[in-house]
Amino acid sequence: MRSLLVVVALCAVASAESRPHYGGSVEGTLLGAPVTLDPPYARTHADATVISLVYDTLYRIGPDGVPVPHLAAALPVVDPKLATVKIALKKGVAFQDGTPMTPQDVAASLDRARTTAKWVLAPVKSIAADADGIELVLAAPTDDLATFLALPQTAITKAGKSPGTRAIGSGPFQVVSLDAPRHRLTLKAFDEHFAGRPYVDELVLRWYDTPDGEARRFETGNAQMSARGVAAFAGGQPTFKAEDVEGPAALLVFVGFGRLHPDVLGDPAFRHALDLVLARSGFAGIGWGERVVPTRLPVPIEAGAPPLVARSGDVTAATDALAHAKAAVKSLTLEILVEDTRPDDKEVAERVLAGLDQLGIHAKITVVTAQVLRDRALAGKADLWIGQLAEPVTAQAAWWAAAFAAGGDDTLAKLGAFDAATAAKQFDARLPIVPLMFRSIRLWHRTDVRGVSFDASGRPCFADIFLFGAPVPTHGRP
Amino acid sequence: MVARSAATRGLVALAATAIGFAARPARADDFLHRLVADARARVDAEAAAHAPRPVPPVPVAVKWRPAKLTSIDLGAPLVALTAADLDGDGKAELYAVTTHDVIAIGWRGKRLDELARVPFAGDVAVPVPRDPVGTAVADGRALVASTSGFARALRVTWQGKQLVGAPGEADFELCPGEHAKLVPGRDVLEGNRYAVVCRDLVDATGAPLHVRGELAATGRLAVDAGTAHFEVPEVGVAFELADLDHDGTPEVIYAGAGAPGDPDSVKVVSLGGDPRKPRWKKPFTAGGVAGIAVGDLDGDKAPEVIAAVRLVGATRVDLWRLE
Repeated sequence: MRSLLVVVALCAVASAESRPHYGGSVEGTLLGAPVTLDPPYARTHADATVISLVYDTLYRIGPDGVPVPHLAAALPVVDPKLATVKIALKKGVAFQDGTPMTPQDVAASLDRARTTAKWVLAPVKSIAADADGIELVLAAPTDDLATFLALPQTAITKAGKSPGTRAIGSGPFQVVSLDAPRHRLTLKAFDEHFAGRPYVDELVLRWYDTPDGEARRFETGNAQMSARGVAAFAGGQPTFKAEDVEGPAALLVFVGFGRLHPDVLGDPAFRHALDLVLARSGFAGIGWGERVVPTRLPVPIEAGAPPLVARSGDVTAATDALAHAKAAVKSLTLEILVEDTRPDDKEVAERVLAGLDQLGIHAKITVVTAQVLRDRALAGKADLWIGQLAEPVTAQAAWWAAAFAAGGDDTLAKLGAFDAATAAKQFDARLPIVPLMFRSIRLWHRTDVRGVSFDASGRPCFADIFLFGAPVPTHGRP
Repeated sequence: MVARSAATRGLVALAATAIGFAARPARADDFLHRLVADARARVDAEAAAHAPRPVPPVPVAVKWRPAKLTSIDLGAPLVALTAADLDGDGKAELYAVTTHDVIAIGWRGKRLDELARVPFAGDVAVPVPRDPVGTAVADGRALVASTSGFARALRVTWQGKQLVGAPGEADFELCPGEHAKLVPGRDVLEGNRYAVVCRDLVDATGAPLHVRGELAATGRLAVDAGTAHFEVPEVGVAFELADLDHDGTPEVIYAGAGAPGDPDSVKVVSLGGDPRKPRWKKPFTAGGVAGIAVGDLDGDKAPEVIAAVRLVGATRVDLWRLE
């Protein structure tokens, strides 16, 4: 039953007895503050969601987990020697400023992704444009190229350049304004989007730095969608009737390691101790009733990982592991960074803190902005931080690659050709991150907001939502 | 349908020849003019002498007994459905247009099954609407099908036992000879329309009656039958026009205009009747009605009403016979 729900919630063609209507404005939500509109630098669910709205990729992951051509005209064609790949491109695609998208734009964008987010196109040696497509020279054979070319990091920008302050993509929505202080991104429909104009004229996405801010806004009828419940207080009723839709459990929440105390944080013994002591079952209660799948691997069950059997923490084994640590950790007070616009992460951090306490390690939680967390994590100026990954739920290679990259570990990328057993072995040895849980996103929406669904990475398909009919006041409310 | 006799076709050809003469520049002696006038007069006289005598239709009682005939996975979402006898065997076939193919469906023994399919080909359309749409128009022994994913229509005919396709126009055929384009990137046709259906029926006296229904994106169906005009509100994209009971007054058979994914129904109203009091109604709670077709599939001279029902976006459809 659960899998059926997930399938139904995946992005689907909305064709039926009548057709979706065009027009109107919808206020939706992001899971946190987006830090970048530059595709190769996308890290979080919020980044990936916004980038999927403003830009396009060569492929998309279909509801069955299989890549389907998007900007590409067909699947990649590999030569018999498995050394080069040709990808034909659709003709007639335009950027939001009216200029046509060329194979040169595509090649330059992918080349920048290859050199900026190395994990994404690790098996690719070079990329060149030809008359009606691109050609990629491979350093190692790969079966997953189309999947990686569906990731937001490979989205196409004009001339492959960083968008700077003015993001112009070919995606279904154009950026009207990004008001970071007010936590508000305003988008308008791109009429000439090659894959179809979005149904709504305007999409406003907001994010919140209080646990009940989002639910309160939905409850009062000011927002049509919420990912954090329908009312600020348990049992509360929203102004208008609501329904909810749940996506795949494709959001991995993990603990990342900084380099402020490299002797401790870089020591596999410490990392294993942390991994062992954390009771994964404790994370199941976080959130608003979404599906939570505790994990110790960065790969979902849908991508082939075995279900986690031992969900409780093992303090004895963790203490034993910590005994092998090279540096003394108990004299330190570790800092756990959490992002202010992801209130759930604070609860996650509290459980991590409790686990450290069981090992006799002092820690404190520091709430910072998304930008600060990003900067400090990338620069290594942190001890521990709570991060998230959103990849296509069935794409095993993408999960392994993203997990190593999130930990700043290029071991897997250097190997070139992907091998799941090698990835698992290396992950176990190095623990670049400590995975905690996969969770789904649950979106509550007013009943007049239709077509709410998710893609394979658990990103809401905002371009497919439409307004139909009128909102229905909740009984007893105005 | 009103069939043209061989004699009528000959007269039309003769008239065309004469009119062709008339279109040329006149000469000093008006021999040609007199020839044309004479030819026209003879054509008119012959036409009057050979005009088919109106045969009033004989009313029949329609018994509504909905039954699911079969469930077929089309391999791609259905975008249009119609019925026509393209192979000339005296029995109509169903033609399901998907985003990939035109699929002929007919009786294979006692089972309604796929007979053949032909794929759309050529350049893909850019831009396309987010939800695919399509049309299917039978024109004589050919079917002209369009789907929003391809730049050109597909003209489908039977050659022996093989269904073959040839590239058609770069637009959507709505009725024989009537074309329109989609609004770029949207699921509506120019003029804010979803669909047009044209049918040649007969009135109560047996005289030809051309019926044309045009569905606006508002869900209002405007039907012109001869000189009369009717409007039916809240009509979904699946609708058909036919005189099911042979009383000379066409019926509108239509699905509801609810949101995609909502429960649906098929209603039947007579033109001029009150849509709030349909002659018949069949709810479908486990899917939406994606297509309605009327045709004599079993060759018993009585048309069947077929509804294609599916879950939103599904490639599998249940085919229901409604009467």
